[in-house]
This record gives sequence, structure tokens and C-alpha cells, in this order.
Amino acid sequence: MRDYFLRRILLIPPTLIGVTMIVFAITRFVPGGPFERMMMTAQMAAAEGGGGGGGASRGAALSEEQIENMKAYFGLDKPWYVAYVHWLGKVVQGDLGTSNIYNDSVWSMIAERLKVSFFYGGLTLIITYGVCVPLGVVKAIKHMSFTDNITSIVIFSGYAVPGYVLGSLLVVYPAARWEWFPMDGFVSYDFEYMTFWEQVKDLFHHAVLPLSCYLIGSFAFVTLLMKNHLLENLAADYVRTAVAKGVSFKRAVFKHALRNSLIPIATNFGQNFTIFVTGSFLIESIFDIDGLGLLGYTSTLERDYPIVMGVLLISSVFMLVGNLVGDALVALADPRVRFK
Amino acid sequence: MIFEKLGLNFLSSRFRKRAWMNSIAIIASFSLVGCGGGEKEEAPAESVSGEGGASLEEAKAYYAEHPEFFTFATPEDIPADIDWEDSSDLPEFASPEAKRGGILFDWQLSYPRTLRVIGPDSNSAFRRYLLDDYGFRVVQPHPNVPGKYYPALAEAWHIDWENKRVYFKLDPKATYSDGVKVTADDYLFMFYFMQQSFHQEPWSTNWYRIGETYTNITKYDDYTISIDVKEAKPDIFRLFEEDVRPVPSHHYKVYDENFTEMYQWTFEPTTGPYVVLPDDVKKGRSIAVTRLDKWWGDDKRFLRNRFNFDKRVFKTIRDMDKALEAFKKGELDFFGLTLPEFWHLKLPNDAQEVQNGYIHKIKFYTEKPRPNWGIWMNKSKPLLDNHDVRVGIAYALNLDLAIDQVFRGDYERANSWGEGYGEYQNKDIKARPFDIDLAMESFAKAGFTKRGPDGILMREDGTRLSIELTNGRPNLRDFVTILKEDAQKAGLEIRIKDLDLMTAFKQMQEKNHEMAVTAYNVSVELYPRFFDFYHSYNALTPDGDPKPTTNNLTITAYPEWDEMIDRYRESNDLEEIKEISLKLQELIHEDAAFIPAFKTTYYRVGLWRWMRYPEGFDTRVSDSWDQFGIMWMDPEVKEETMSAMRRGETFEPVIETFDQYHSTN
Repeated sequence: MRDYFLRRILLIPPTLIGVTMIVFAITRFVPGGPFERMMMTAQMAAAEGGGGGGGASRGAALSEEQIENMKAYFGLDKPWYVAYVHWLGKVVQGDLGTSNIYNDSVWSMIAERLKVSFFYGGLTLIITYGVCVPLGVVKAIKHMSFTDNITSIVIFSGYAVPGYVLGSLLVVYPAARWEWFPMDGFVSYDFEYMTFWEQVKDLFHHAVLPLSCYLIGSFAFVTLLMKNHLLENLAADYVRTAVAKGVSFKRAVFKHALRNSLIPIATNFGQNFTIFVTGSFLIESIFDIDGLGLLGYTSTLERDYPIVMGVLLISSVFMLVGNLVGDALVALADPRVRFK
Repeated sequence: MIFEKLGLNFLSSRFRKRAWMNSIAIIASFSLVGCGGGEKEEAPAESVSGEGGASLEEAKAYYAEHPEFFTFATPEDIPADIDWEDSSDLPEFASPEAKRGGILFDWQLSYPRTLRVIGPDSNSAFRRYLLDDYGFRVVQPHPNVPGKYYPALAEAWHIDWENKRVYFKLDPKATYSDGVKVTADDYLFMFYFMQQSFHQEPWSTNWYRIGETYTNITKYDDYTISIDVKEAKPDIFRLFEEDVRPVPSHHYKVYDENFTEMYQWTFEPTTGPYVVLPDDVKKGRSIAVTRLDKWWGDDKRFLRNRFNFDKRVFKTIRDMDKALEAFKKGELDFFGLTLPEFWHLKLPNDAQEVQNGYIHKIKFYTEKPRPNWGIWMNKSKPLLDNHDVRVGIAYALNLDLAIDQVFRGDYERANSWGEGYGEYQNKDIKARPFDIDLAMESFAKAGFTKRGPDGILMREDGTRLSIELTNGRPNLRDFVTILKEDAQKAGLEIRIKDLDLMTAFKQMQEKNHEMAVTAYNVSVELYPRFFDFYHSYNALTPDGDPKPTTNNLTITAYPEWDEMIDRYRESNDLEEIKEISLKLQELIHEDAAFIPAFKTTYYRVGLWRWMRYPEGFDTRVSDSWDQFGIMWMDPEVKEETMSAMRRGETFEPVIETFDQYHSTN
């Protein structure tokens, strides 16, 4: 098993190189790089109703040399593979480069937003597992009861509504119309002037609506995963044998069946690492939360490729590590599992 | 409470109201609090000494290398008989009733990418508040008297037409926001600054290149300069109103290849009334501009009674609908309603906020050149190289229906290339109407005489009348679909190519489009520019291929047009300019490679009741209600409105149209 994990760890770098190389190459070939973006903003009229105007171009004809200089400024003057090796060399030294647009270090931009993603990812994780696992157990024990049916209706209704749709509704009604919660932001504009407890309140006041969107989808999945596997195990011979031998039902559930039912939960646990860092760009867009998901999304739209690559790298690392952790958890939960 | 201190009163009341919610927060872990802390930006060190750095020394060496451009003279060299003008006969356009004060809450779809006013990504919507609207040049165009200019950083001027030279007497009162005086040296430095390429804006480098637009700058004393121009056209001040501004050498102490990175987030000291304070730069979230307590222009004619808000806060709201919700809550003081769906559907006249008189809806007609929205055809492509096909297409596009359906008839059909240029627009030209018979007649002349099984016209050799139309604007998708549907009636197949804006732009820049629906920015100028769009210099490479990265989207390359455009550029005679302008527009119409689509001749805005404006609302030439800073807010009316809202009282609804500048061109 040690060899298996060692192999998996050693596979991480080549996988990362493969993923980043492909995306890097794509960014070089898709139209609309930073140079074109610059020309476009200088020349094109705004589409909003044909109004606008102002800032007419001073003529678009540039010399070959000027165009080449601009390409060099944006780092587009070398073949993609040379540029990739250059990028990789800097990454190895811990430098993710500089944003094409904001001229800020990519690492600092990502680091600033990681805390937002960790906050929402962490809370989603805690609440999902903190609520869904016990709920799944209760639903399995009380299968077909009133409680089971009602909770099923609730979680299936939630599952049917995509998080971003719920977000759009929440932002209009509880936030804008009824004014129960703030419409946007991770914290208030005057957060830094608040006392500690005011800050805590403010943080969670802002988090209620987006968190609801994050949670709504994952609730049904984890709850039913837990419930169905527990039901399956409760019906298995070894549990029935244990009960027949005089083991109490409670002990049979919690000592015997529950452990085995946690294995599929553990298998999926690693996937949470991705949510942990990338969040949901749609939810972050709706609530104007400056997290990593939104950063990745806007940088793709704006063709800010150094950031695109940085976000890709970080999320890929987390995904690979997450898979590894998932495997480790399965091995821990199920002694029969032997990775080779 | 801190909210009031920050002017965020609306938050204060709401916060108190939501006390019950606070209990939710108690479960917070202490460590999480650290997640929300917005780090304060490092304050850029501002120089108040006015001393230049290494860059000024380099600039001086550059001046010495180019004595033909940078001249140092004495006051005695100024002609004695000079007749200084100062536009003192022009009327002021701000209201003496305007009141200073208040915080204006505004929004932007995306956060500004830089505080630089030049270089990559500096040409954003936010630059208006850093330079274009809130900074000053020697002279500014008078927004109520087209073609006239009022003094700003200059006190007076004199145009020497013979020598193509303009003398400026600078206002000695003018200072930058850091207190440093604006002097002649800053204009010399500006030319040095712009002529280099460190700012990474090659178009500007070309514009300011020695001999290209300007041929000399002479300093006579600290407050007197003259600038020579290559072409002394009747609209000569166009070369000064935007492009001649002082650049503070004391701020740009270092000016080298690291310029864009080094000054990405530093605010250039402004000659205008608003500054960006370091604490107000909350990246990704909000940014604000703050009024100087004592601004040098406060009492100056044409500048006084303007720029009335103490602060203007821009929140980043990445969705227009959400911004509208914030506006309806009173979190924003105004909202642009030019888009038909917002004016008619999302904030209709019968909306409660409007009917209660809390929000006023204003429609204001304005005179100015209009962006040239239209269908641009690439004449280097098969079929479109045939004049009859182009004319047929012009008749086959039901643009009126598309305007009615998509824009609810709010926009007008444009008639020609060069709309909004007053007497320099050829108003005899009427756009070709949708006419199936005329379209088919024209297609028949091009050999498209029989219909295929799908109803599309064909030539005898089987060539189908099928053209691709590139669109990069999501809000025009329905528009082009309507064009496609009705064109089929005339036997024309339009293959719509919906791309994202950047990809569409690239395709057009590389001249790979067949037809494209798009528009270019236009400045407020006396007469249109044809060179970029219709001169063969911008159409073809020396090898005769379509030339990339130019604005000649129609690949127009006619020697006789070139001759007219060259003459037009060189002419100093307004009558001749007018004559050529009208003739060229006629030729463009006949050539039929550009089909005018739509234009708006107004803007619409929603304002909370406490916003105040001069009689007549805005100036004759304006892009938006806030462009010239002539509005203000009344705190008493705000308090009255808020209190009325709490008590459920209402006011008379205000839905007003100001059409004193409604031109019918």
C-alpha cells in the first residue's frame, strides 16, 4: 500500500504538467489574447443601445515592429512550448507570474481569494457531513416513516433546484425585496471598522444566502448515499446475525453497519477538495463574492491567461491531493482494501 | 455609528432592523473572522515638492536632442500684436443654484483594472473619473455651443493660422491635487512622456511622434507656451481638447520599461477636483473618488458650480438586474435606463417607486456624433465584391422591423454613415428600405435569377446567395435573427455566426468576416473622419491583400476616394470640408458596403428624488447625465423622501422628457 501511495504521489507532477501544458497551448491558439483585447477596448463602441461613444481611436494602423513589441510585452512573442517551459520554470520556483491585466502577482491574487473559498468550502463540508450523515442514519433507521418521507421531499426539492437558480431567487426576495440579508459581498463595506463580534456577525450575515446555495445540491446526495448504504448493510447477513446473537439494534447499527456504510462516503470525500478551492463561480457571481471561482471565471472571460493558469494549477493540485486523500480514507475505513 | 460617518446611512437602519439575524452568527469560529479583513492598500507616496526625478533629467536630455521640437524662448519672443481670446462671451452652463456636498452612490459592472490613465487596460469606463471627465486640458469644448471652447488650464489663447501655431497663456492658479503648480514644463514633459513607448500604447506614440500631429512646443516662460501643429484645420482645438494635458514629472520620477507595472495602482495627481484616496481602493469591491476641499478651479468661470458631490462611491455589481434592485432600494442614487428592457419592463412607469414619486424617470435628447452601428460588408469576399449583391442585401434586411421588435421601437433607423455631425452629415441620404422586389431585382442583375428548393436564390452555375453575418454582441442575437428570417423572403440566406466579442473582433481585424454587425467609437468632433475607414492605405497591404488591424472593414480602396480623403484631411476650408464630407457619404451610400442600422439620439436615466439638476436637465452635447458634473443632491429632500417612505407618504410622479436638443437627422 505504501508503494501505491508513493506511486500516486509521484504521478502528481507529470499529471500536472500534462494538464497545464494542454491548457497553456489552448490559450495560445484561441482568438482574442491581451493584445486584441487592448485594440478592441480602444476602438469598439459599447453595445448598450448605440449610445456611449467617446474615446475614438487614433487610427489602428500599427507598424509590424509595434505589433511585435506589444506581443513581447504580453509575453506572446515566443512559441507556445518555449513560453510554457519558461512558465513552468517560474512555477517550480514558486512564481505563478503576473496578471496580464492587473499587473498583480498571480499568487497574491489567488491567496487573497483562497480564504473566501476555504470559508465557504469548509463550512459547506462541515455542515454537509455534520447534518447529512446523522440525517442519513435517522432516515435509514426510520425508513418509510413520516420523518423519512418529509425529509426526502425537502432534500429532493432542494436537489432539483440548481444552486445558481436558488441564488437568483434569494438575491431578489430575502435580500433585495425583504431586506433580511445583504445582497452581495463577502463582508460589509465597513467591515474593517467593526469590533470583533460585529465582524463575526457581519461575516455570517453575508454567508447565509450563498451558503444555502452551496449546500442545497450536496444535501440530497450525501444523505441518500448514507441512508441507502446503511439500509443495505442493515439488511445484510452479518447484521442480522449479530442481532440474532443478541447484539442490541443500536449497537448493530452504530458498531457494525455504520462503519461499512461510511466507506462510500469516504470514497467521495476527496472530491470536496475541489469545491474547497474553486467554489462555484455562478454563486460567487450572483452574490459578488470575490472568491477563487469568480477569479477563474472572470480571468477566462478577460483572457488573463497567467491567472487562468494559476487557478488551474491550484485546483488541479487540490483535485489530485483530494483523490489521494479519498483513497487513504477508504483504506482507513475498510481494512479489506489493499491498494497495490 | 460608522455607517453614518461613511455616508452609508441606508446600511445603518437596515443593520438595526436585522438584529434578530445576528444570533445566527454566534456559532462563528474566531479564526474565520480573519477571512474577511480587507487589507489596506499601500498608500502611494505623493510628492508635494514638485521636484522631478531621473525621468525629468532624461526628458531634458531628450529636449536637447530634439531642439526642432522643444524650443526654449523668452517672453519677448511672443509677437507683440497678439490678440488673446478667452471665450468670455460664451455662457456658463452650470447652475448657480447647485449645492456642494453629499455622497453619490454609483456602480460599475467590473472593477477598474488600473489607475493608470495610459497604457494597457487604462481605457476603461472608470477612466472618465480619473481623467476624461474629471481632469482638465488647456481648453475644453463647450457642451452647449458646438465648435466653441472654454478655458480650463489656459486663461487665454491665440491662434496663428499662418504659422499653424497656437499660443496658450496658462492659468497660474492651476495646481495638481497634491498642491504642485501646473507649469509650462509639464506640457514639455507630456510630449517627452508620450513620444516614448514605455507606456505601451503604440497608437499614442504614433499620434505624438515628432512631426506627426504636433511639430513644436515652445516655452516662453512658466505660464506661456505655444504648440505648432502639422495641419491647422478649422477644428484645430480638437488637437488640444483631449490630447494636450500636463503630465506631472514630479509624480513620474522613474519612467522606464517598468512603467505599466510600477504605476498600475497609483493615482496620478489630477488637475481636476476628485482624487482617489488609497483607502478607497478596495480591489474587486469598491472604489471612490473624493472631492478636494479647496480646488483651484472652484471659482473659475465655466468650472464653478460643477463637481458638486463630496464623494462618489462605485460599488462593483456584476449584474445589471442586481444593480437595478440596489437602485430601487436606494443603495444607488441613479441608474441608466437607456436600454428598452430596463425603461419599459424592469422599471416601468407604473412601478411603485416611480408612481410614488421616489424615483424620477428622465429622457434627455442630446446632439452628438453617433456610433456607426451598421452591417459592414467585406468587399474582398466573393459575392460581396459585386455591387448589385450589396445593394440587394441592403434592400433585403428588415432593419426597421428588427428595431421595432428588439428595441421596442425606441431606437431610430440610421440613414447614413456619419450620423450626428450636424451640417457635415448628408441628410439627403435615406437608408434603403426593406423591399423584397427591389432586393430581388438587384440580385437578378448579379445573376441570381432562380430559387433553389429551399427558397434561396441561385445563379445558373449553382452558386447560392448565401452570406455569413458575424455578430459578437449577445444583445444583438435576436436582432440578427430577425434580419435572417426576413432576408429569406428575398431569397438571401444569412448564416449567422455568433461569436464572443473578442473572437468577433479578431475576425474583423483579420478581415476574415463576410458581413459584420458592429460599430466604432466616435469622438465629439465637427466632421467625420474617413481616412481610417475608407482610405486604401488602410484597406490593402503592398501585396494587395486585405490589411489586418485597421478599421477599413469594407476593404474600400478606390483611388478617387483616396484623392478626396487626402484633400479632406489637408483642407482648411470648412466649405470644402463640408462639400467633400457630403459627397463621400453619398458615395458610401451608393457603394452599399455599409448598411446603416440604428442610432439613439437620447439617453434615459432614473434618479432618486433628491437628485437635482439645472433647468433643461443637461447640456446639448453629452454622453450621460453626469458627464459635466452639473448635478447635485439636496440632503433635505433626501431626508424628506426617506421619512416619507417610512411613513408611506407619496409624491407626484415625475416622468419627464427633455427634447430641446432633439435633432431629426
